[in-house]
Amino acid sequence: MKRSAMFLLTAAMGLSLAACGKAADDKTADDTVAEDQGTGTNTDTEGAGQTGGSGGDEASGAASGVTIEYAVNYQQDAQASVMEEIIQAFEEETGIHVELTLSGADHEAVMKTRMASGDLPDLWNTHGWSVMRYKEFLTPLNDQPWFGDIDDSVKGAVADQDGNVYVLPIGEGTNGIIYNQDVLEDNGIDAVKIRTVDDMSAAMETLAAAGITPMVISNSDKTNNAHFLDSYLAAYLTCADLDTDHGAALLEGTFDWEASRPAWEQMAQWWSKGYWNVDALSAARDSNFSAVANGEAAFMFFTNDGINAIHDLAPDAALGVMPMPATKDGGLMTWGVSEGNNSCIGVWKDTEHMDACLSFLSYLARPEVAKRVIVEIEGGIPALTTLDVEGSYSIDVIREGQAAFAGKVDYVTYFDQAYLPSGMWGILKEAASAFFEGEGGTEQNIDAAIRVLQENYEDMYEG
Amino acid sequence: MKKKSFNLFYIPALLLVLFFVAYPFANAFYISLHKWNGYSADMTFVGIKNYVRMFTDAGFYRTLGNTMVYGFASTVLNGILGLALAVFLNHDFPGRDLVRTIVYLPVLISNLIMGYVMYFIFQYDHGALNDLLALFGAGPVDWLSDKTSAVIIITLVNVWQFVGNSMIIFMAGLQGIPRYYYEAAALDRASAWQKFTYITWPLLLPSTASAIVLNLIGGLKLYELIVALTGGGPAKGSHSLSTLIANEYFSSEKAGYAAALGIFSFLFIMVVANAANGYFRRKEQELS
Amino acid sequence: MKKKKSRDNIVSWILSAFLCLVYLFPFYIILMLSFKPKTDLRSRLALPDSLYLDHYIAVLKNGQILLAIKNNVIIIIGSLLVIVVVGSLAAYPLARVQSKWNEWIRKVFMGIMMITPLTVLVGVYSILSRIGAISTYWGIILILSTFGVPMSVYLYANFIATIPVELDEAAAIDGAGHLATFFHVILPQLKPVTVTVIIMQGVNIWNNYLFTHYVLQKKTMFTVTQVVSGYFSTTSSDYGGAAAVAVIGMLPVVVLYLCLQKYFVQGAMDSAVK
Repeated sequence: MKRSAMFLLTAAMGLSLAACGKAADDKTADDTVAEDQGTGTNTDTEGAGQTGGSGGDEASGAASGVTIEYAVNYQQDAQASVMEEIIQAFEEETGIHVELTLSGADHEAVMKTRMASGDLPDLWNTHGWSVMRYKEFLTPLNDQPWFGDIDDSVKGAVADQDGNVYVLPIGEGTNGIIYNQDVLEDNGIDAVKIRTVDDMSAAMETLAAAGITPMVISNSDKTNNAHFLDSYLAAYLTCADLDTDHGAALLEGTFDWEASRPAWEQMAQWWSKGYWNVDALSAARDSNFSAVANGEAAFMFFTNDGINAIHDLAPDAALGVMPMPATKDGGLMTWGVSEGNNSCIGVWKDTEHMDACLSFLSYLARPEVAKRVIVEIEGGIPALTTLDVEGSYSIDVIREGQAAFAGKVDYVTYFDQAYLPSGMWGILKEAASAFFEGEGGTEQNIDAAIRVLQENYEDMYEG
Repeated sequence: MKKKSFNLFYIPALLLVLFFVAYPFANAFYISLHKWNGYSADMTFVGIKNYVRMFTDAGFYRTLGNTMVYGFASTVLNGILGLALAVFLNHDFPGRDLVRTIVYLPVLISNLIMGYVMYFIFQYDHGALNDLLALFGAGPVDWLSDKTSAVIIITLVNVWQFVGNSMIIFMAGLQGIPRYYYEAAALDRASAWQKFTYITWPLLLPSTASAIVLNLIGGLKLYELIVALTGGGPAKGSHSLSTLIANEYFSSEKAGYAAALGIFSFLFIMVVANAANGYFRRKEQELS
Repeated sequence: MKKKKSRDNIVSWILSAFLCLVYLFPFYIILMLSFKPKTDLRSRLALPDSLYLDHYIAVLKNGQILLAIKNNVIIIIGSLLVIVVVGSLAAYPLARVQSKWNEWIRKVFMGIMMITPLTVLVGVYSILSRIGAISTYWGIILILSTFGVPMSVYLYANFIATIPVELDEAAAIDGAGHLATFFHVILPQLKPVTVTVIIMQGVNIWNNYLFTHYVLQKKTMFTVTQVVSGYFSTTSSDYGGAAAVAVIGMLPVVVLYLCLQKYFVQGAMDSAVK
């Protein structure tokens, strides 16, 4: 008894002393996170210049033996194990050890905590936010050997105003309308003929009459409501051929959200006609997926991830994907494009192992490796011109959609990423919920939704 | 006695608290005086603006109301149902121990996991409860689409999960009451209600007061269950202060405001818990 | 008399049956979910067509949940060591010396129980990252201990107050210092309350999500709740797998509870009733 008790005591003392000592050591580093970041930003471009020549594979020898951390936003085993295999092969070739950090659905929250405390992974997935949110922490990568291979369609989404790119974009994310082809066919609807919002309304009327839920949406915590608004509002506010383009006002912070009222009124009309699932307010997107999968519902707004999710639930269902219809006759349709959610990787500007990080990116950019990332992890279309990918269900579906609507579409960067400050994604969710709350779709609901957007938007631009 | 060396005994505990609670808490207060998105180097001092904003925000008052429901309604229901269960399972019948075991079981399961499971029950589409209703020919109900019903369901699930704990505590309290009190009361022909108000309640209260206060604090801090069950929805209608803090901090990127909410939540819980403690202490003195 | 007894029993059984139904229903749902293929989109109440074990096989083959259980055990043992030692040490002077200062210290510990952990999350994270404690056992052990210590101080102080001071004094006359008195006189008496602390805090730590989830970011370090939550929150939710993982993750606690029920119940009682 006595001896073990003494042991415990010593252990506890040791622990607390260790904590004490460490903390004292770090006293000087205390409270300087903000400063560090400040100076870091200033030397940003210099840093990039220094590392300029060392980008390619040849650097790997020098970096052998180091360990770098790569934080990703997927947690599904299938995706993680593919990345682990890639990392394994990379390690065998270069001797650089890559440690995979998985925070899954909470990647965003974890990254925010880590940015706040100045402790970032060496590499991480930027899930659409390389410019808007992560830029001040990332290294510009314009000098990298693969830079010239970035597809033009995704360049707008990944470059900042000065043309700097902060990620290796392997896959491209798309946000559009996923539909169940079988359901549409059974009801004599040809998705490719849907070009305008009015066409959409007509199709939904037919479906509703046949007892199908025309469109599914979810407003609980795990939602697709922001995905919906992201595509939908772009068609009303910023599509290239609109009479009034609100883009400039949105970016200046002077936009008056009253201008979005027609969009909300159209939604109110759909809601009053019962074109959406009755549990819109409480549903989670998983039940949306299964409704489309088993043919209870026809349309759903979501990214390329959704195609695979539905395909998993119902491998036999024929799925299609289409852009958001135009708001006027003969107008352009809009299709959201962004960095792929799971396949765009940035490098921390203050990493101690810049060479190792860059050689890992170059490795990932190799066609045979990038192809695996695209097909087995992203499930979206490639963002590098060097890639020729076939045989992935979601990619085939997206390509079919793109071909069917060729020439009719304005490919736009995701609305929130292009025009709204970081943090507005959550506000879009809030606004959509406000629209569906209670009875849903009433004048008060619309007012509430617009107010949520207006107040938070102003707040983010203030001060 | 050498008091000083004696007091060294709590130095390790104090050190832990200093590093991992006091400093972070001071840091949170500092943040609460700023407008900050939660991660960037860009931080603007705004004074007490976040606090002013809190007290002028209708959403905040709804959240505060919900938090009180989670705290007080859970505590009261836990008290009533826990006592009822304790009385019921304190009398002897075959199979009693099994029932006790089963009622106490959920206490040990993670609040978060229980929330996920409960979602499968209260979900509209393919939810188990609606499927059950369908067996009796009733139509489906969208349980979580109404703010009030979402708050009620969260409260009930919370009570369901933790009432086993209250039950056990009350049982211990009941067993601590000497039998002869009741025997004496029986001689005086006291009714069951009289026995309860004159013997059971006054003797039970002091021994279980601390458990009640802890229950209250737990309810006021409710977090994981809400995250898993409603995520604070519908339309932010079922948030507690804790989940609202997370939402404002991570989703809306208003770290300063979230920190202000956190400081308020601490003060609020402290005031309530102290008041409850004081109340029970007074009661205890009155009764003895 | 006998008749009354049996009628009483029947009423009790009816009530009991209702209770069991209400309490076992959620467990039934999650078990059903774990035994059905993902493509089975029928009612959650329905029994599976056949005993479908693929979720369990997949989950076990993947091995993450087993690793997580191991992590949980390591973290629990470490945290409990700190909580028990640091907590009982701190409680001793607090229970013995009545002074303004000690009253204040006591209040500080109580105050910590009222803090919403989210308030201090960013601060805690930045300290841990500065001392290199992210994704380490000792990091999570330190932080979980910190939030477990107040409760254990409270329980130990209450308990030590019931140990007669005369014992301390006798030891002091024999020339023993405080530390020696603590280890020879007090500590041996603390066994029952230590069981309570271990059980209450053990369950809390097993189920912790908020801190583990931010502090442990490496897959190999994940705890049970993190793994389960991960399965529930992926885009294409693998609910069958999630259910299987949840069931496996609950098992150790449930089995331990069924085997050591007496201690669990005693622990719950002692934690509250003075």
